[in-house]
Amino acid sequence: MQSNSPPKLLIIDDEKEYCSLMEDFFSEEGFSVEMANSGVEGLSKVETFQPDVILLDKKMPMMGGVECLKRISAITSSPVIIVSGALDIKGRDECLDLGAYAFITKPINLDEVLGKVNSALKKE
Amino acid sequence: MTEDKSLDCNVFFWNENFETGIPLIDEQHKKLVDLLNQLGSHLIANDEIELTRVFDELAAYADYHFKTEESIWRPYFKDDVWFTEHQQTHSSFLPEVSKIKEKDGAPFGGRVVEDVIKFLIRWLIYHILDSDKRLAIVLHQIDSGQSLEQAKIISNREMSDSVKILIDAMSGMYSSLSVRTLDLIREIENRKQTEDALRKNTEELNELKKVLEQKIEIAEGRLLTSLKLAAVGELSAGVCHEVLNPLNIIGLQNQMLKRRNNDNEIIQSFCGKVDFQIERIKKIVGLLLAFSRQGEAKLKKGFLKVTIESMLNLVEEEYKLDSIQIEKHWCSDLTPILYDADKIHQVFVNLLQNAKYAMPNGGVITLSCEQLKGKKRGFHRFKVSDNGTGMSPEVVSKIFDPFFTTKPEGEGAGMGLSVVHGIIQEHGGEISVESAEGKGTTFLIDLPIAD
Repeated sequence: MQSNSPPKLLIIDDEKEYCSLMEDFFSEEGFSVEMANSGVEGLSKVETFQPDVILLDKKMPMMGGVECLKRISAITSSPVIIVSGALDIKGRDECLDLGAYAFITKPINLDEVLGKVNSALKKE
Repeated sequence: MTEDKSLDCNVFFWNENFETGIPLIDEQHKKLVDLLNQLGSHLIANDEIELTRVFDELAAYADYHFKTEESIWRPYFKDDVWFTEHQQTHSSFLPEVSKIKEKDGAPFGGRVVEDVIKFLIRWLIYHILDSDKRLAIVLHQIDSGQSLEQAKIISNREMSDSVKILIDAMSGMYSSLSVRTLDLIREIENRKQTEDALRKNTEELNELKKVLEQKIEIAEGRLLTSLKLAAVGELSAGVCHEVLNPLNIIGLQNQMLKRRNNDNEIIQSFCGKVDFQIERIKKIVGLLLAFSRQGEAKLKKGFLKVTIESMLNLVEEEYKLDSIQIEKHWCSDLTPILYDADKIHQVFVNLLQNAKYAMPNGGVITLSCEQLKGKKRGFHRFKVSDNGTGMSPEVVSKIFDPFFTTKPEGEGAGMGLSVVHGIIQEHGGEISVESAEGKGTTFLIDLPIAD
């Protein structure tokens, strides 16, 4: 991350409406935001956009969140925050074991997600 | 059965050839034969007391009969050798029959009775057909004007060797007939015993069938509840995921609206109300997911009592304020169980809350446990009982159904016991309920003991 440029956030989620709301919010918070609506698109944006932090939906059609997380971990060390539909303890433990930075559940609280993203950036 | 069969089981058949022509003697002979046949028929039941009673009656009657006979013969024979010999035969009868009866000191029944019967048949045939008839002829001849000596000659002539041969032949026939009759009696006795055993077995089988049918009914009920809950659980999980996405977007829109209108009180208040409703939906979805979630229990070996006790420490004081007393009856042989402490905590909190709700005027909640035996060996049973209002069978049948509640709207989502059921199943256990209206309710939780 360059010191003067805004932090780069990649949102990977198949729900477009959600993505655009998150984009609005994080842009207002001073982030540079890119969106991807599938795992495959997400992986390609990880390479081209080189995000500082990634918000990844756990439940997506085709390539699911867990598979996508494995592939992301292979190409970048940027922290990944998993967004899950529900509190699924087994799923959370699996993602954390695979190297996810944090695990949050829907419905999302913006203060909570902003806090997690900021602390992930500091960690990086 | 014994009474009816006694007619078919005569060991001695009376006919007119046995008659002496002296009515009193013939009548007493018939009575003796009758008692002998009774002895035979009682062999079926082989009841020692009854057999002894009939035998004693027969012996007493024989003694009485001999005295009657002798009082009839005496005036005719005085001290003639025929009479004195006859008297000797009489006096030897009882000692001989008693000797057979008490042979080997065995109980009076079975073979011993058979031996006694065989002796009596032989003795009666010779006594009546030979000796008594011989004396009776003499008596009749004297009555028709003959002297004693002449009468004896006539009697000897009538009771010739050929008659003796016939008596011998008849005795042999009676003997073999009695053996067959006794075999028949034994056969009847065996059949009766077999029939009794068969009847007893059939009754036991019917009892067992009833018990099994009841067990199947209970098992079917439990299976149906489990299947129903599993189906509802699957459906709930699907619905929850579909609801969460739009709910998430509504929530995000609301939060954005709130952020962008920090100084607008009307919008802030409006967004606060939407938030409140989102929280309500979140809570219901959370309960549904908790109910539908399977296999996520973190099982650790420990004593469940410890978890229950720590939970009770939190609520006991509060319950006292509502006049509810909590009694604990822990068993001495508590064994470790594999369980998820948080989830079991949730189960018991839920059951205690239900018990409290069932006792608006206070009462007693009893917690107890026992190690199960028999087919449920390997399980530990925990019971939560209250002496509250109880439930009707209809309510009991739906108690674990999701969204089923007897509470007024807004007081309960009807998910508590469905979640409890799911948690117990996750532990490989079973939960059931017993309730009586006006008396109270008991929840029975069976959990497998840790290896």
